[in-house]
Amino acid sequence: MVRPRPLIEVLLIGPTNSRLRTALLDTGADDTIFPESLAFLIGIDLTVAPAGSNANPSVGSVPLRYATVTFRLTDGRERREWVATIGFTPTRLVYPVLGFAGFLQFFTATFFGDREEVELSVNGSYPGT
Amino acid sequence: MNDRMQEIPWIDGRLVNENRNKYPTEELRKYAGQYVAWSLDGSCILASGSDELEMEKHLQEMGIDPSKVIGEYIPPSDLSVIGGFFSE
Repeated sequence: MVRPRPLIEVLLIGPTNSRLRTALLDTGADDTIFPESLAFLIGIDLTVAPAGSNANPSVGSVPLRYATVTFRLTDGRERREWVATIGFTPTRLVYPVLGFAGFLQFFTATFFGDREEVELSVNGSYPGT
Repeated sequence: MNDRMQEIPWIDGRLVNENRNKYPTEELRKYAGQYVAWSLDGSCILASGSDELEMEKHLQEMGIDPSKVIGEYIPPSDLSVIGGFFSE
């Protein structure tokens, strides 16, 4: 069975490299979370990063280390780029999570369930270009 | 840093979704449980691996720049996803 999910492609830019990933929009997530392996690939040193945790209904407490990245997002018409602090976790992810902090806080998100589409529009908090 | 930023591609998310939705479901099922690298337009899968790092290793062996693909985990079709995490 194919399950429709609100997935979008985002580019993360770190100190030495960048990676494009398909990630899950999650309005129930306080944090934006990517795997620690990605931090390594884009040149982020997590050994000195501030630590925290996120409570998740599936796996319990999820350890996080926070670092700053640059996000890029486009639908072919608008181009958006902004700097955000996000969490990186060693816990295995099905998808990276685009939660409130660093991502959804900057957008108005409209989910069209019947069309299986989501629309993101920048809001007054958006800090980027 | 500015020169590097200019080399980093902007991808058309709308086009990627359109192309990826056309990818045959039966073909995509072959990658269930694996990490795949989509082409920048979302039309084909270039490499795969058991995890993100193995996928990147395969890309490099093929001479493909890992920063010029879209990485995605393909979950099994019977998996119900809550919050992006696997259930214990």
